[in-house]
Amino acid sequence: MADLAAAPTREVTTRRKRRDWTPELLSLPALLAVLAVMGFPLIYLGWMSLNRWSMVGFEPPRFIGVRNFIQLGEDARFVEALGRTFWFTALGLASNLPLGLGIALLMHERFPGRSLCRALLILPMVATPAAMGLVWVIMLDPTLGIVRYVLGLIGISHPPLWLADPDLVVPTLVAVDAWMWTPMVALICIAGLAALPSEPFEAALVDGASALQRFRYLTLPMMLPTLMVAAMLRLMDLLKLIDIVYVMTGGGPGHLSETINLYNYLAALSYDKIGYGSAIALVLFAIVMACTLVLIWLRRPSS
Amino acid sequence: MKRWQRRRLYAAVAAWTVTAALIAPFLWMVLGSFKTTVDFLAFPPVFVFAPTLDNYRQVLADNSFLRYTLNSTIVAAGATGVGLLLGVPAAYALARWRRTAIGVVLLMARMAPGIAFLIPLFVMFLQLQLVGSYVSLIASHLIFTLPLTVWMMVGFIEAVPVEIEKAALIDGCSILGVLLRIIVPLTAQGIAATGILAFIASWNNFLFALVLANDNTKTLPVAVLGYIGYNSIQWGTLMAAATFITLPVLVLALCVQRYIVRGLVAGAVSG
Amino acid sequence: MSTFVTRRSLLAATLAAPAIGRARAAGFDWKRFNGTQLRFMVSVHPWTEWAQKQLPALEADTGIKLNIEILYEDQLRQKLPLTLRSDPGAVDGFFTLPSWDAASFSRARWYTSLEPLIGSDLTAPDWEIGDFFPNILNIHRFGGQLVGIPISTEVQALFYNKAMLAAKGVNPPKTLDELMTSAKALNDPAGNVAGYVTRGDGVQALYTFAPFLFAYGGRWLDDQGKPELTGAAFTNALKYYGDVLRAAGPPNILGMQWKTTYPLFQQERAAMFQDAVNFLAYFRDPSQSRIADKVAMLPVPAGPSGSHSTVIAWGPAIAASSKKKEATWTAIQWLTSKKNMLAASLATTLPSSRKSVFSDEAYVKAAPAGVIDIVQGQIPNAVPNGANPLVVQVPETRAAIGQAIVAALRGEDVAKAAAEAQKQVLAIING
Repeated sequence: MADLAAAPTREVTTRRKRRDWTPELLSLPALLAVLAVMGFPLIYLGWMSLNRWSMVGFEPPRFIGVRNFIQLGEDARFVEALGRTFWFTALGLASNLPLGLGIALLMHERFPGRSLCRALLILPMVATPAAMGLVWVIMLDPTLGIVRYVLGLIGISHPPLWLADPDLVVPTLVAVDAWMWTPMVALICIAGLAALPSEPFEAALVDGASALQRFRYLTLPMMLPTLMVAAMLRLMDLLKLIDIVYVMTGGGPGHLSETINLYNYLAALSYDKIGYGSAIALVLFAIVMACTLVLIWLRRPSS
Repeated sequence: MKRWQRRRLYAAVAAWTVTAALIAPFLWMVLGSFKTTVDFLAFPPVFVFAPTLDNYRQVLADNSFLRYTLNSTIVAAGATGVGLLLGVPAAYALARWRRTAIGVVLLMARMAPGIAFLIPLFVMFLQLQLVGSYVSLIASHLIFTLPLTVWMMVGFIEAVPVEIEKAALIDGCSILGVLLRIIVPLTAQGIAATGILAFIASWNNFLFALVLANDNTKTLPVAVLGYIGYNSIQWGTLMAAATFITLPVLVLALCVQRYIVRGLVAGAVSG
Repeated sequence: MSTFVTRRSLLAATLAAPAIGRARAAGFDWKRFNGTQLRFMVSVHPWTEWAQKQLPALEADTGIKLNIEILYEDQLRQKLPLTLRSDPGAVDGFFTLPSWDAASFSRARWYTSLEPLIGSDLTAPDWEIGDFFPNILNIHRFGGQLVGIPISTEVQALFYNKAMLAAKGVNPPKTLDELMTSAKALNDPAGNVAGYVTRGDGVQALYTFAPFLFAYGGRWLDDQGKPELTGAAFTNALKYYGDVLRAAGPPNILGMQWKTTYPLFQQERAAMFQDAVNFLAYFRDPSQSRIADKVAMLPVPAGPSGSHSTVIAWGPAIAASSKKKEATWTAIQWLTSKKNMLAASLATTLPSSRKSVFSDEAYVKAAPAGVIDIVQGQIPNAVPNGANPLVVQVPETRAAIGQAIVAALRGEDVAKAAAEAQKQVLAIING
């Protein structure tokens, strides 16, 4: 129910309550834009997913109903990509969130150069993913890369194979993605920490609570809403991961690092299976929606 | 050393180590932009070398590169501007009236896999004879700048006390007037932060431009890929181009970094 | 002596299949299409980069304003079909690689047959189609029609570092067995040096894997156009490819794309390297490579069925939906004339598709040492368009076969991988 007391509306003088259309009018331009660049394409996408359509040639699309979706269920590559995307997301969240919070706690302390440090945190977020992906490929190269050199300095003479190791390729990509986006989580947590009230902490100190206890019983519970926000942002992006995978491995070796979004891209634009690719895109969209709604639902009781 | 001094020391060391680790790859890229290809790929890595400006000379001498910079600027500014123009009123509606419909729609927009819309958008723009135009790129970038704008501005708007607006309305001001004369000035920093985040997102996007842009409207990230030749990669030049692309947005981001954080949190908590 | 030619008769000449033997005009009018504006869509390639620099000269000679749009290769493959289909007439000419495009573009009827144009009076008399190597010209023939003009000859070669081989007393290998032994002898994991490196990325590796398939007497498709991947040849080739790279390749060979294989060779971290001959130019460039004076080439190693490189060629083609086909042909023939092909080869060091360029003194002197021999030596036995099966769905097929190569590189059962690839490719072709 709209909180009419807070809304800056004019006083209603007539007896009959007339619905205030102001908010709808204000949001109309934005809604129209969304309808144009997203709504219509989404409907078109839905229609394409029910067809078989190739761009090569002039044959019109052929309606095949839900056969694309049935085929998806039998497509091993799709099922694997799905599982792999969830794995990517789980690893991403498990690394981004604790690391982000940790960096934030660190940056919460007072030390010389703190504001410079905080400012520099943006750097990974701002670098062009396409170019940085290529830089990372060279840095990680087990023969020529600087990472090998650095590991050699600390005594590891046989570096891991990173992107060439079937077991490490996904974690490596998660790590590169974490390098890019953990700073964002950290920045969100920094603001969250700054907004926390200081009384409970002071009281805890007086009561003799240790740093660990203060963290576990005060910081963490109070930071949960902020962490949920970061988690939601990261969840949506991780499920849709494609940029760095495209640039760094192309989904390889074989299909071992292929995410759903990449398979969607390849199916539609490379394999010329527009209908099939559209079906994959719709499934991905549904999954992102479902996961996000779950997170939102989880958030409700704690806020 | 006193206990609190020791704590500061440990914090400083840890924080600076983390920061150094985070910016190291970027520094490596910038360093590489001054190397020849043979030095860039050398192992053990070369830290002391004869720097060359040839890479930058090559990038800047390439007339197209300056054109791509202009394209990126136009598209990013356009996507940001339109995003703000449409998004701020919508954010105001969401913040004050809490009609969650628009919020949900925009959240869904953020959830969609953007590239899924590439082909429908391409076909749509083809019918409208807009493929390869700035309009098509700006319109497609709205897919992510608009949700981002609304998301962040909601929080900033909520920070403004409602009383000011109520007073203005009682004085006979219209809603539009309230927006322009009260909300915008009071959330100026928020608008700046939001605008810059949207600008960065648009600036760095390359998958859309890959399909929707032609040679005249090609943006920088796509141009960077152009340094991957048919059978060679001019690494030094690529690094120079990549550095060149990152610098403007870096400067912008550093200017408003504090407000970016505030907006990200505020918008999310209420959204 | 000039014959009166109407637009309608020109169009008829273009659409009719067999070549029309019209009398050639004595003075060829290069400016016949003065003022026409054309648009080509091409991919990144040394030749297209050279071509873009010739546009002022083209306009001066013919009055044609040509706009060449250079796209990243993946980008071209996405945009070109979309544009040809949805916006007919927008693109007049495009860059085509028949091994990849021929089957699908022919089915889509997007090519214009060039023979009628060549035989008509729209072609300058000194353009001489006979000057092109016949087997190279055949690369651009599909369904009996010539669809494009090949602008270079891309074969593969086995590159090796003379100094590194001499240091270990290893002879440059000519056969598969010799390659295996020398690669192992040159391999030095402790010293961070690999004996042999080539592509390890499933999809990209088809190109460098092909010579091994042919060396064992195999081929991609049988006479009915069905995949021939369950034969002994494919399985043996898979096994060899996997074995040699696991034994003597860099540790991270799995998934290695060409963008990280050739730097290893250039930085002397690999003693031998196999890929397209085009890489030679960069190996000889002192600003990019440490081996400028140490690199040498051999033909691809010979197996039980001999040594067979692939030979592919990019080239400009005329879009069937173009409304300015004749002008497009004029532009294309200007770019591919004897004079300009020589200039292109001198500028890009690419081996030409014209015989006259190969025998031209200036080119012989300017060409990187060894290129002429390695190309001319391998052309007779090379498999035209052998880089991948000539099917309509090339990317998907490459992905399926690539899985088998990846399996071989992981040391898995090659027979099983081959059977799986066969199954998938059949499904793709039939599906």
